[in-house]
Amino acid sequence: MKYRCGRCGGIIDSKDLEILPGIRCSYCGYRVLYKVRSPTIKRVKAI
Amino acid sequence: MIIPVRCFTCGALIGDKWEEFKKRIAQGEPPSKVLDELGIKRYCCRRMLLSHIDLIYDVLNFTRPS
Amino acid sequence: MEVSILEYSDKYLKALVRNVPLPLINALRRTIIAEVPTMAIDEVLFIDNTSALYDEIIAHRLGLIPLKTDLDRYKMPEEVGCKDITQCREVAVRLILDVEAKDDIRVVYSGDLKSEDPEITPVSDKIPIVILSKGQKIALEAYARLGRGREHIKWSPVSVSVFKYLPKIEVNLELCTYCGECVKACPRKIFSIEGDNIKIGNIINCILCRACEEACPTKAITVSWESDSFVFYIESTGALPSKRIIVEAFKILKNKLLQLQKKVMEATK
Repeated sequence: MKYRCGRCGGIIDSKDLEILPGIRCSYCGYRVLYKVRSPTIKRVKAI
Repeated sequence: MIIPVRCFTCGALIGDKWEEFKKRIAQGEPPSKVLDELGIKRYCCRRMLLSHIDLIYDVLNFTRPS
Repeated sequence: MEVSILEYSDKYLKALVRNVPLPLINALRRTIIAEVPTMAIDEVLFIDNTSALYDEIIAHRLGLIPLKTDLDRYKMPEEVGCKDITQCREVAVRLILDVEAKDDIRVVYSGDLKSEDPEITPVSDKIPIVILSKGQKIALEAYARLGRGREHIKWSPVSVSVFKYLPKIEVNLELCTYCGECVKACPRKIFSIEGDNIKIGNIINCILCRACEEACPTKAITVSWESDSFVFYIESTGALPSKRIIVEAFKILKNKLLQLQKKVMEATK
């Protein structure tokens, strides 16, 4: 599961987060992470 | 939020008329004149433009940074 | 049967028809709305969307955009047994949208859609699809196919398809006092009085509201309509020219009747 940092934009894997209690960006320490959109192509009916 | 593509009642295409309508209203022209000149005759279509509020511009400020 | 054209362009068609039975005109009206096929986006493959609008909302908007239609080169999916329109070249057209708002707020318009078939493009390039803030991106593939209004109204070739009775206004000149109350009451300004002459303007503009009948103090006015005569009006979305819409509607109606005739003949053999 990949997450993007809100400040530096770096991508962090969920595995790396598990090491420390509390989530923080591995690069800059910012605590707001956004989940990256799945690479699966989403098929939507235009209704 | 954003101007609907078509009139809710009759289905006439109105989305493409919004930007010109908005610009001319901002310049001070009376709405009835602008609507007439854009060729929007039925009041079902007229209210689509007349009563639309572009909330998306406000919402944009709160969407997630990429 | 008589047909006279009151207004005609690719977008509008208004005709005065006489001696046509009402069920026939109504059948034409309904066939135009529900059975004449048009091209419209039906499936959207999202690669990326960081805009303020959900994928489904954007897909909904894309579906509603009227597309110029070529009825001769494409077939309905049922005709060729197509199960996945993204794989059937004779059924679907692919339109690609790939926009990123690099430095400013950017409005994504229908004109940004790149179609693989230059004949099948949006009727207007100025329809806003979504608005992107700085850094936001949208990347998608939209597939358009032929469909009918009865499946989803986005496939209807018209926004308006109506008919009304042809009005008939009779003024009993023995009772008329030329008071002018009818002139004031009429919302469509049909009446005019000059001295002791009452004139009726364009009767086609009458909306049969009977305000004149009520306003007349001597009950000199009678509002009714010509039997089997109608004013027929259609307004195209731009997907097909108005004349083509009517031609196709009659073709479809005729086909249905022929099919029914065939079945009845077979069943009664």
